Amino acid sequence: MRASNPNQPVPLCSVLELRRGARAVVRAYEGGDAAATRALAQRLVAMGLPIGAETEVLVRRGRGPVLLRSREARIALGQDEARCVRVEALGGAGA
Amino acid sequence: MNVTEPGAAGSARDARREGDAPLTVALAGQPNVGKSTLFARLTGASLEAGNWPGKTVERREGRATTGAGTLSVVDLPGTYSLTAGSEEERIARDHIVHGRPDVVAVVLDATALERGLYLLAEVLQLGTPVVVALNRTDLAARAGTPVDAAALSAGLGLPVVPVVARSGEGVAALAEALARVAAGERPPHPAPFELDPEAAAAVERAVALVGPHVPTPYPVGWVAHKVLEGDAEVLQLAQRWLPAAEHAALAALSAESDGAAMALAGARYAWAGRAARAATLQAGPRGLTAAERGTDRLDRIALHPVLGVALLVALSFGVYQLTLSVAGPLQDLLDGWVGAIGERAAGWAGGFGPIAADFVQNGLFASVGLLVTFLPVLAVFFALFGLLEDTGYMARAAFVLDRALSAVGLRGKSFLPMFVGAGCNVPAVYGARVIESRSARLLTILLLPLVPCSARLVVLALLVPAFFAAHAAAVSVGLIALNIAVIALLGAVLSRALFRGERQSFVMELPRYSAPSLTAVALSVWTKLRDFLRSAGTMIVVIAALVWALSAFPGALRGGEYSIEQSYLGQLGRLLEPLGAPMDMDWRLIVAVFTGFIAKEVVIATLGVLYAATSEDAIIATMQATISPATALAFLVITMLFIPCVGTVAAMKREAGARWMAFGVALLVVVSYIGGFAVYELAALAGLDQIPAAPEAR
Repeated sequence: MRASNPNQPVPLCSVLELRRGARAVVRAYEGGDAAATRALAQRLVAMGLPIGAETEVLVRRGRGPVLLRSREARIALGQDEARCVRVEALGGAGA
Repeated sequence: MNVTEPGAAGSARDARREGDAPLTVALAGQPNVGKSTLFARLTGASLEAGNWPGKTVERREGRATTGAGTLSVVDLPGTYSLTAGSEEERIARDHIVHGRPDVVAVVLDATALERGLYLLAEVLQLGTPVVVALNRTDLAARAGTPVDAAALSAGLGLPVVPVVARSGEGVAALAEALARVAAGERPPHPAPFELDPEAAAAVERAVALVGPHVPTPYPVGWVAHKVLEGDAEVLQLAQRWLPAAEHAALAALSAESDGAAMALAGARYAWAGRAARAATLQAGPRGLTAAERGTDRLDRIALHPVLGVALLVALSFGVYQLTLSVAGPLQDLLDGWVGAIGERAAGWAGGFGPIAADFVQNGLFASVGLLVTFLPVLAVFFALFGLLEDTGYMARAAFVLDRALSAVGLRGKSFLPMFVGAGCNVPAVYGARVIESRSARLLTILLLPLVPCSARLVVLALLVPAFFAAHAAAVSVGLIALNIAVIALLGAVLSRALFRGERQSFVMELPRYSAPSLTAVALSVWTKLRDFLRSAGTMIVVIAALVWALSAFPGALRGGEYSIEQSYLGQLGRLLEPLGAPMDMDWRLIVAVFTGFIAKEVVIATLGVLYAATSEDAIIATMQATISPATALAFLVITMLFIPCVGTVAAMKREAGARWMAFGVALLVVVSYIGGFAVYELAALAGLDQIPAAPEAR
């Protein structure tokens, strides 16, 4: 879970900003409401998206919910929730 | 750090056993791992279902027979983890800590091993003996990533039994293993759970602080972890246990809980990952399995904003059509039988006087017959719904509708009980339990009675062709669309008015598509029918009999001929006639609306009695001659928007509480009256408020 160059902060974006087919690694959970973000984080971690997990965006369209693939599951989340998932985009199709 | 607590808790458990109370098993596992299929296989027909005390979460318990005797198995709610975040998780962990099962069986899906092991890590911390049931080993093998149960067992230091719940393979061996562990057999070397130095130091500090104060049966290690994670429930308990002097130290420990929670979660996943990799034999390069690609392909359509909705509509129609065509003949058959039995019974009761005979035939058997005719429709509808749900499709429907539903204050998950509501509103109200957020659940329950159920369509089917022969289809669709429009409008208004500021969240797993398990579907059909019979059944029979009495007395008591108009029911109708006047509805239609409170089918029977007509054709003919199309339309609108039936009201009281039920009922009364009146005025503008001079010849 370390950046390749420890002196340079890794650019993070929310998974909501990625397009369909993009791959990314989950780095943090951040949101306005601390309690809600923590609850969301705990839920998503248990469902298969812990810090360090690789994910792929399967569905991302308009204002509808987002579908992410974790290693073993497909997880759907609303846009507000997706906004809280901070990721590091990997090469290839992306933001 | 060693997580499995040694003998102390075990001997306490043994000490409390007396005589031959059966050994207890708790079945835990994440959603979509096949736990309910496994439970059904283990316990067969011995299922007892109810609720966890004081909660609206379903509790299932059954017996499993093994060579060593019977085991009592409790099915814990499926949870991804054991945080304090949801009622299901709190129930699951409370049962393990306080209920003290002799063994916990953790069900893992061999095709989603790492994630399941995360839950296992949490369960192990609670200290009860664990047996792992490794399900779907067949699917894992087919996917090219077979899991070696023996290797997993060695790596975890726990007994691991491979099973295929769908076929029942391995279930007997699982039962035997559970019996042995429950009776006291322990695995030789429980595996340690490692943390990085920083996290380990934090845990040590937490243990030092809370250790001396944690009462049995809580495991110290678990409490320490939860304090560090900032677990709301455990922190509350810890505040109670710790002397005031230590509260500051407690607060300091849980201050950095966000970071600590992620670190501990990471440690669990690292442990899970190592165990999974050690036990999985990978045949080739890791890529998408055939099952995954198949699911992706189907989802391209099912999740498409346009095609997905079209698919949903098509499937819904299909379910409806199939239900009616299969259930129709069954209903006629049952109707005939009940009627015949009723006649015989009435003949016998005739010995006690004409009132008794009338009661038996028209009061008792008519209402029982009514209840019985519900059953085929419900059974077929629920079976089809259950099949669709078990394939994994329903989650896609919720996904595709989420955007539309959020416009009216709900989320995608509310669609599921609403779909059930199209068959019958009663089990739909119980079905609202799948919605985690309390306010979303309440709003859904308030709106559910407006979902047009099959019973209402029966009334529609009779009256619409009678009054709007040429445009029957359009009018029917219009009435149903009206219900949907009212749901949307009311949803938008209520969510802003009552639940203002509450953001609903949408997080849902989309399982792989798979062939449905008939055992699981049969179990869910039985549960829904049971809920219906329990809450609606007795009420329908009792109240139908009561309505018969109100319509027969006091006339029948005086003997001889009596008219409905003079009965209590008729008097009630006359009393309320002013309400119906704006829609030109006389006391008979008002009475029919009220008896529709029992069940919509009763409306037809009541109309027959009120218009002194013994066949549906006769009812239609008399009504065509006495009421205008506008009035008929108003009556239909009220029927569609009014309280569906006693059973729904009873279910609402159970699931939402008396106050919300009363609010919901009042809401429906107001909405249906306004709706009926508005439609009448519109129809009158179109000139439909005149009774046609010559009714259609039949």
